Amino acid sequence: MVGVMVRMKLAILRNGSSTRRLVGGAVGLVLAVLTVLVSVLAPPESVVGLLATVLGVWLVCWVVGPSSGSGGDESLRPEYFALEPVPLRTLMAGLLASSFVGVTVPVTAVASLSLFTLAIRFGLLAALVALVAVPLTVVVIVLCSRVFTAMIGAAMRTRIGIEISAIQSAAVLAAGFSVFMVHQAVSQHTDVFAMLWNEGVSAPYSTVALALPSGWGVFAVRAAGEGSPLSALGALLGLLAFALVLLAVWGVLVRRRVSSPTTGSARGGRGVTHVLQRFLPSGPTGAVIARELRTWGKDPRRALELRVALWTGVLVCAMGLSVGMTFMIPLAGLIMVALAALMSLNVYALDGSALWQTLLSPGAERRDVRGRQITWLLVFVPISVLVTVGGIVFTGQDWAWPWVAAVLPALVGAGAGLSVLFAVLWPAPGPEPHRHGGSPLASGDPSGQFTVLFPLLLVCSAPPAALTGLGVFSGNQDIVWAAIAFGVVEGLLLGWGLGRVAYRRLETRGPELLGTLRWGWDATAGRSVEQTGQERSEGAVGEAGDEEEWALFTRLERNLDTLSSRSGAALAVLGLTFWLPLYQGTASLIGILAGADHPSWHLPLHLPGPFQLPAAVGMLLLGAVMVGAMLRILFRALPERPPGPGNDDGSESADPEPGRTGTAR
Amino acid sequence: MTPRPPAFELYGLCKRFGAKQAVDHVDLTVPSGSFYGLVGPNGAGKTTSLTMAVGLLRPDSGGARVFGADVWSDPLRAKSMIGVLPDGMAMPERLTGRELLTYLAQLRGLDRGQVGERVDDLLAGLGLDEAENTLIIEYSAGMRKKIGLAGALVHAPRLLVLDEPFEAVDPVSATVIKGILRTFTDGGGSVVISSHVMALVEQVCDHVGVIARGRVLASGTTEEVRGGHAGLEEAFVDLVGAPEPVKGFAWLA
Ligand SMILES: Nc1ncnc2c1ncn2[C@@H]1O[C@H](COP(=O)(O)OP(=O)(O)OP(=O)(O)O)[C@@H](O)[C@H]1O
Ligand SMILES: [Mg+2]
Repeated sequence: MVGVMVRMKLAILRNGSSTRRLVGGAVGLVLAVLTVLVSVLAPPESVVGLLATVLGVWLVCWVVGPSSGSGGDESLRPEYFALEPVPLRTLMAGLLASSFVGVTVPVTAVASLSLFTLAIRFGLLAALVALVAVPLTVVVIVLCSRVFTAMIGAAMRTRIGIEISAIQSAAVLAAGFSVFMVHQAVSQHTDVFAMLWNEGVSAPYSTVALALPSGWGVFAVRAAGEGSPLSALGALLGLLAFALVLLAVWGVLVRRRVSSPTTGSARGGRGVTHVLQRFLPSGPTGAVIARELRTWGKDPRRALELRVALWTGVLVCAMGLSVGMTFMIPLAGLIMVALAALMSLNVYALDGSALWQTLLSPGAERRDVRGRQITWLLVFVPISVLVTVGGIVFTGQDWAWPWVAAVLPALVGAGAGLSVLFAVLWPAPGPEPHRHGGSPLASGDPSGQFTVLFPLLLVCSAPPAALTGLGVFSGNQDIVWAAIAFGVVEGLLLGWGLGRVAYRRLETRGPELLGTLRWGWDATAGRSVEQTGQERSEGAVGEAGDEEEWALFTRLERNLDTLSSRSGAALAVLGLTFWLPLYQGTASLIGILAGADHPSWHLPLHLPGPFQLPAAVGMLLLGAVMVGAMLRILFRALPERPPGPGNDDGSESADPEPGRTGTAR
Repeated sequence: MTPRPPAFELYGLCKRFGAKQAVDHVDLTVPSGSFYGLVGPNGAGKTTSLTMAVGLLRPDSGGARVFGADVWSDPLRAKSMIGVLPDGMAMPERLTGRELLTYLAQLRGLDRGQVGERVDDLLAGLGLDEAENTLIIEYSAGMRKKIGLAGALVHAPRLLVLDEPFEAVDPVSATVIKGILRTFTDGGGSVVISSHVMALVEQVCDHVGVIARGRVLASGTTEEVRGGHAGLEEAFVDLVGAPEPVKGFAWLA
């Protein structure tokens, strides 16, 4: 049975798309190798604490990743085997073994090898201990993830469970943001990375890292190396016992899921949404808003995402207050809005093929997109504004007003526009809402979308922030007002314009989106490029008048529409990396001008004196070229009209397509 | 007399999935006011053809017209005249039955009074009034079919395209649905259904189209398609070709 399940998983992997796995595997492998390098290269005094911390981060990612993302790897579900006459023990062994097939576990195993490389530095006995610790650590990490995801899945059947899991995810996110901001604040004065590297993680934190299950292996290795084999043995036995406990808990959860696989519904939601609904217009857009408000209230996945965004903002405030870094509090609302955009970038995929009703109602595409945008604004913005304004008033930080006034509107507009645009253009399809089985969390995995949208949001809020900075630091009140006006106008333009791009796209390529949502990207990837080649020539005739009026948006639309997979990949890579040289260049320039003596990870500052300035400028130029390349892809003018058939049925161009689909898989 | 455009006209529809030609030049004409049954073995291409014909799946070639309005080049006019019940697609799952129908009615721009009246009628008529406060995701298979049918009717279309509307529906509800659809065609509306139940098709449909392996094997009035056979079932088996009779599996004895 175990062998059969592993073969099933292999077959599923074989029939799925490989690009995702390749990219994910490559990134993961790089991180794993970096982990090993830490264990090899870090100075002896700090290496234990560092490695324990890094492995702790691996553990946290494993535990939080699946439940905040897509409900974990659901390719083999326990309920598939509910009717098989096999004991639960075999079923779990099979599930566990099959979850080791794929890229994530091997990558984690490579990262855990760092225990062994660390042990080599400690001697023979430590190396022997590591031989046991490495597999145990991997198993414990994987089991932690499985148990946690299963617990969340079970908890999601109740309202309080949703709340608790939202708070957990939000706590991790808030901690991340806070660490980032604290780092930014502290690194004004010192080089945090160098300090960590040389002096190690300071006492309370390294103790916490060692106390996490992921740190027990490190502890055992160090104990063995320092000549206390008994503590080493104790730590190893502890790992083993913990693994067994996890197995037992997981067994209970799997059994419960197999025997009661129906989704419980998150009831209620009669509160705010119900009151709001009375004030909605009874027209089509009002109907969409009512539907969306209901769904935000009742779909456990949306409810979770909503709460993660809100709780993160609240917790950032709380952390700011508790460590006395009150400058973070006015920013909490901004973080909420950014997270709200991230959390709702997959709404179409979450609703699955329900899109057909929109496509079959005349003119409903525009209303659907606008309705979703308005709902997003209603659900997320008032509370973000409240948190930020309240925070500023409460902590008396008047310096924050101009920044928030300029950046918040821009961010709100960008969030309202970008999230719905992503939802239409780049969904992460998952199981259909009426088909997902025992896990109410099951959904597509939008982590690729996250990594692109987040920098985009930063870029959108950069111009008003920069203008405000200019005004505030030069003491020119007019510039501050201009920055606020700029932020408001930018927000309005982005929200309105990107929404327009989204619904126009839905109008022209709705059936393709529906196909993607029903059957996944593989089913449609081959064709859209092929077919749109000729639609481009039709569109050129039909929209010639429009092209004048909305030149930029129309072009953006058409170019996104006809994006070849090569330019798509280029766009993704550029989008992910373009800010690096810009950031490096700017930071280095400031460093050079201000005479900073901590090069940190700003590469140009590591060069000998005379080369620093040219290198920084070069970085800036490189960034500019990358931005230019992206803009070129997005806004390139219409290419020469191909002499191809100006027909209306497209049978000619569809001919070479089967081969194409074949190779695309 | 100028010929009235047929209610629904599928012309030259083709669709290929990878190496498989799922629909191969399907031409069908549904006369106005007729009750049209589409039959064919599993995987014949019925669902694919209907999905393309209503505008939810882009055909490789060909298209469809609703009362003369082309679904792909004049979608607004075509879509305002049809009501569709697709097979196996999601709905806004977190709405109750009443909320879903209200949503669909408002989306079509009906005014408040009309919305209330039609939603009440549909819920009561299809026996869903007890379940009106249940979320769609908790509906049984038959209830999903019924609420889907109600959604297809709520804007009073002139043409109904229903993919397996009687599947999983209990006999009493099936009789109710048949009654509703008959009244609809008697009033001048047109209906296309796909089904596997020959007796039902023979009983309710006045026109039949037979599809197998993506091609139309026969189409016309029920009498024409039945031809010299005793019933539609025999005609169907004759057209599609009976498989080798399987007497049972040796190992199952
Ligand atoms: N998304 C898809 N990808 C690949 N092949 C598909 C897809 N959808 C349908 N097909 C294939 O197209 C053919 C026709 O399918 P279709 O669903 O139209 O059949 P049907 O006549 O409705 O069958 P049934 O009576 O079982 O509902 C089948 O062979 C099916 O395998
Ligand atoms: Mg079918």
